[in-house]
Amino acid sequence: MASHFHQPERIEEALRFKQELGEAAYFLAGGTEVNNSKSKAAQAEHLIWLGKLGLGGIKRREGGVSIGAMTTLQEMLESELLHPAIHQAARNHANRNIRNVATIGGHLATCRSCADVIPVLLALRAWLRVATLSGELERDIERWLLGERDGIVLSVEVPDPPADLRVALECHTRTANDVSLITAGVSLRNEQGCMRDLIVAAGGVAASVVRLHEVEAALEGKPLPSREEVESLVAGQVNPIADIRGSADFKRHLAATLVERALRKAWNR
Amino acid sequence: MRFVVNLNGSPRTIEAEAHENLREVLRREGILSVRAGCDGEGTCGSCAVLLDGRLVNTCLLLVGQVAGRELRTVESLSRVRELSALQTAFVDAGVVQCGFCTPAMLMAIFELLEKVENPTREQVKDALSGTFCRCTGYEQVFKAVQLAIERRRDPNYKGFIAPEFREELLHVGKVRRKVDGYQLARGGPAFVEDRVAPGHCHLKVLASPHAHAYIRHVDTSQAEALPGVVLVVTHKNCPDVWYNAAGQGFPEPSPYDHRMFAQKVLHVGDRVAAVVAETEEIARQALDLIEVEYELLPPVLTIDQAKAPDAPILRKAHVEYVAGAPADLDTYNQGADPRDGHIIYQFPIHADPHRNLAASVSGGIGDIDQGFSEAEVILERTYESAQVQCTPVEPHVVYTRMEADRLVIHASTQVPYHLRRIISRIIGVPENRIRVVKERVGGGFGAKQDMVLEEVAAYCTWVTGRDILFRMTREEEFIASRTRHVMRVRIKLGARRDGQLTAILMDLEANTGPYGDHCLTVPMNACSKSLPLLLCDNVLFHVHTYYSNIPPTGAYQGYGAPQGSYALQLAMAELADELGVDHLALLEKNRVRDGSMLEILRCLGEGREGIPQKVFSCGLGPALEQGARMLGWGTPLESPDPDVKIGRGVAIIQQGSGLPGLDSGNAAVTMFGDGTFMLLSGGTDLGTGLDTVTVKMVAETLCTRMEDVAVIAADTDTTPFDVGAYASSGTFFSGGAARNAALGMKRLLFREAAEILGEPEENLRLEFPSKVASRSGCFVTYEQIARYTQSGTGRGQLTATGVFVTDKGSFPYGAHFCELAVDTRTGKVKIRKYYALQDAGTPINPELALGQMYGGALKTIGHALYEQMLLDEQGRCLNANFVDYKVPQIGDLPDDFQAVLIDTDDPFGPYGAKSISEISCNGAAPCIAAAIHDAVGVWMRTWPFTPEKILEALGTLES
Repeated sequence: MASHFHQPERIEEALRFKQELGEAAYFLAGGTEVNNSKSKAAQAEHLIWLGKLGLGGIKRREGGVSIGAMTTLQEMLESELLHPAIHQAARNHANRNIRNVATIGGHLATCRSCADVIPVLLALRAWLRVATLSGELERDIERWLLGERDGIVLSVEVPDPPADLRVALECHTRTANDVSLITAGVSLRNEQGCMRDLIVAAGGVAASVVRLHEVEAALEGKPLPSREEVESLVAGQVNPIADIRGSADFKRHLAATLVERALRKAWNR
Repeated sequence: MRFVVNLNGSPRTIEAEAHENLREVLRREGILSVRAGCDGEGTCGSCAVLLDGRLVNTCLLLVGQVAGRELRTVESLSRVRELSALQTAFVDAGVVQCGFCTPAMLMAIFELLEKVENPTREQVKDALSGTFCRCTGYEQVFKAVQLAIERRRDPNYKGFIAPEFREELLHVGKVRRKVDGYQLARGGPAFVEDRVAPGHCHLKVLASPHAHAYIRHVDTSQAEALPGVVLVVTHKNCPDVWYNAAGQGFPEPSPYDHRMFAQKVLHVGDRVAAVVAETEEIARQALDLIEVEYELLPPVLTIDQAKAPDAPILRKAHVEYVAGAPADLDTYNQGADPRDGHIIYQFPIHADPHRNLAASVSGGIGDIDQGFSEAEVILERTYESAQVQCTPVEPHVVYTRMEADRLVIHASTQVPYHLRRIISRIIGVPENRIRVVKERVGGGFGAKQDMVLEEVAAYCTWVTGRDILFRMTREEEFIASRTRHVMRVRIKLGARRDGQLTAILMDLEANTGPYGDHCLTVPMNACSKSLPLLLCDNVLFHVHTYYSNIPPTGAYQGYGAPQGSYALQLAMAELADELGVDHLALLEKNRVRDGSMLEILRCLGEGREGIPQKVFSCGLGPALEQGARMLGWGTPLESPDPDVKIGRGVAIIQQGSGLPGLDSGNAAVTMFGDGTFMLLSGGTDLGTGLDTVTVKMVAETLCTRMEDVAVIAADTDTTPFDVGAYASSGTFFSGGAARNAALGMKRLLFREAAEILGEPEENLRLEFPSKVASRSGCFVTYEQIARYTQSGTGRGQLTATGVFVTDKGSFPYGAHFCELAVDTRTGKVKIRKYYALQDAGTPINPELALGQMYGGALKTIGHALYEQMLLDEQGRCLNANFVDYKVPQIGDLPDDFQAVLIDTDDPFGPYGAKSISEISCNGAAPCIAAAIHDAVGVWMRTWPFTPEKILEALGTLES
């Protein structure tokens, strides 16, 4: 258990704490990850709580919606400002008790392989506002996923999607209240019978959620091919690890199935 | 530091550090309702409260995060003795069983009803999506929510809750408020942990990291030197007593193969040492200071490994028999290794521990060879079941203390009297030095029939005089309490073309793990609760149970019957397919019915000759008929989605009602000065509603109101002996004892009233409420009788005792039906309809009986589809937590889930009652497996039927 609980009231202060304390300190947002007795963070000496930085709330802004980092997943699911696909993604996350506490900032910071909300953020081309000691910057979510995760997420910026954007999500869990095993999120436009601006994201197949660029490139500008074709395309692009929840083959098969289903659902929407 | 929070409507200043865990701080502040069923991972939801109006797990929050905010707990819902409408709705609808998770459930629904006036089923499911309940099966929550909504308008609203039975009776068969409902719905002190006094010590166990090893050397000196450490116990200084921990009636059919600490560890998680210390933290630190040197042995994990000719042997023990020792015992014992200790058998259970054989038995009727030679079709299949854990939300916990020179054990147990007997022998003091108080039990399901931790705490308190709390973590609960026996069952069926069975062979092998608790009786029960469902003249069974280094097994609701039923019932489904006949028709042709004589039971006694029984009150016919109608059996099924296939399945099931000739229950009824009664019941209510059953028995028999009968139960100092809650004996035996005590009281009332009224006893009858009336029109009230008998000239206070023993077996019967959808691309199974139809004789508490059925069915749907303890090659459990071991919750409910009570009247049970709970666990696996075959044409012969296994069976994935 931590022995120090810091509650900075300004972002710079929070960043400075972290800079000074380094590995001994963890940022604490909602607490479902950090306060979990089995987490590494629960053993940290210092916690820097981000609850006093005014990072909550979902706001409409020019050309999109801004989700404050301390917004809970349940608040997102209840917000009429957000795209229905975000509601669906938030609902897939664990259960009500957890959603009432887990924040989108914490969701991004822990960046789990199967983070339920990240695929839809990719599909909607969202980006992050991040505070660092050298100032505030905008960060592409994919780069965040690839490891550029210094600083504190201030908000997730979700641009208004084009009117004809079609989004679909799929996920597989063992029981209803479970960490997702495999997730898929896609978005596309149907331009005269061809897929355009295709985004294909999958969770549970790599260390963090990934965009399947090869799949996107292979399908961009084409009508949706047969199921078998899409599935074998996806299966060739993912390399999940085996664990107690499933063999690599099973997960690869699920990823192919779920991505294909999401594509077909979006296509037929 | 000081924090101010708004707690239940008023400001509360809390002294705590900002980084302290909120759940622990709230407990310290006297908020007992925030309970722990996981290890602080937020996976059980039992500690949930409302934070600024939203449901949150307090174990996942730190005090600093909630400063200045509003907390609302269940303690705010009721006032003094008055429950809120929401709480009464929960109790009345039957969703308060063990009550451990009830406060969390209440707060979840409280939040929902604050926000939504008339919530949908989906909204209720969402509200409870984070609350784990193992008892209720959730289904009746929807009724509770409806009731609560109505009661906001009209606090006295009753509505329809459950069907009622026996019009001529006042309380029995009627929906009545569970007698412990008030205590449990308030969230007040009820469970073991709520009883601890300040200054108590903590006990922690050093668990073996190895599955199979000798302890070469153990050094506790550093641990003992740590300030705050009170006692360290190892195999070197614990009592040298070999005992049995199965919690069965004496003499037990299980071996005495436990020592409090032994020189050989037999599973990962096995006890190496115990530390008693003044704080939990010190106890933990002390464990780290104990040095142990092991001599590693190869682990034995499977049945095949255990029976291999060159298998490592777990127990080269010195074997002793209390009765029936074989002639060559001395020779046998020459092969013993002193480090392996002893095994004592009360009587032979055909064990050969030097070959890893824990028990064996064979038996049958007719001529099996003849039966197979008459068969036109022979089908032979093997079925395997996985190791699953009971997962009571309250883990094993005990609190021990001295009161003067006597030992008091506050226990969460199913067997307080067996506990007293076993502990008295281990410590070496008479039973009258020990008091076991059974507190409310936060779920038992069989795991709390076994003595898993009580003797260690009891011994340490006896030695040190200190108050000691010993509570298992969730991880320990998985690896070191009890689980379902792993079984492999080979079934061979012979039948004529028309479906008539000519022979049944059931060849069963079981894996008991490191201890022999229930090693004979659980596997036997797999036979004795499945074979008598089918009428066949030629039956043979074999049982072989092996020791291994997997986590311990023991009793689990159903007690082997779920595994036996899965094998035999699924084999019947396969036979129907083979013969090309309708599965239901095949069952109908071969099933047991009223008047059938069950000769097979003669060879299925528990280590002795059994008693053949004639079948009365068999509700199987109506159950099959009604279930088939509800499901539309035989009508075509179509799936709108080509990837999704739909199928239906059925299984017939049975259980017993206690153990005739072995079990016994006792009760006493005492009359108070105002004509009310105190019932002292030996029965152990673990959330099942047994205390309500016994109160109803007395109130019904004595024509009085239920509130005129108070009950104290399962406190070994004050209540009389009862074997405990297992083998589906509660209603039959403990209920029967309460009824017999009440009948005794009735005779006393007649005697006194005859004297007062000056009339012959035969002219008298009891009249509701609380009167003895005469044919002549005169009457005397119970209060008048009490005053009369307790006066200076009276005979003294009226007390009557009752015992219930029987040589009759009453079997509950039932049929489970399901309709499910298999997603052929993901392998996922969705249960669309699940109908459990069971006869319980007269259901004493109909709403609670339904709750038992929903709970048993959902739990075993979980076993069939999701649950399995996974071990690595070294015997380490890889999923000893609720993140990785998945239990079914409200989101997994069948879309249409119905429990139906089939009305039968049993000639032997009290007021015609039979058992209800365990039987509910026997239908899910076979009926789901049959439905999967109906949907996609593959037979799932090992449980759980996970998506990956289904895809392998379908050939979609390579196995």
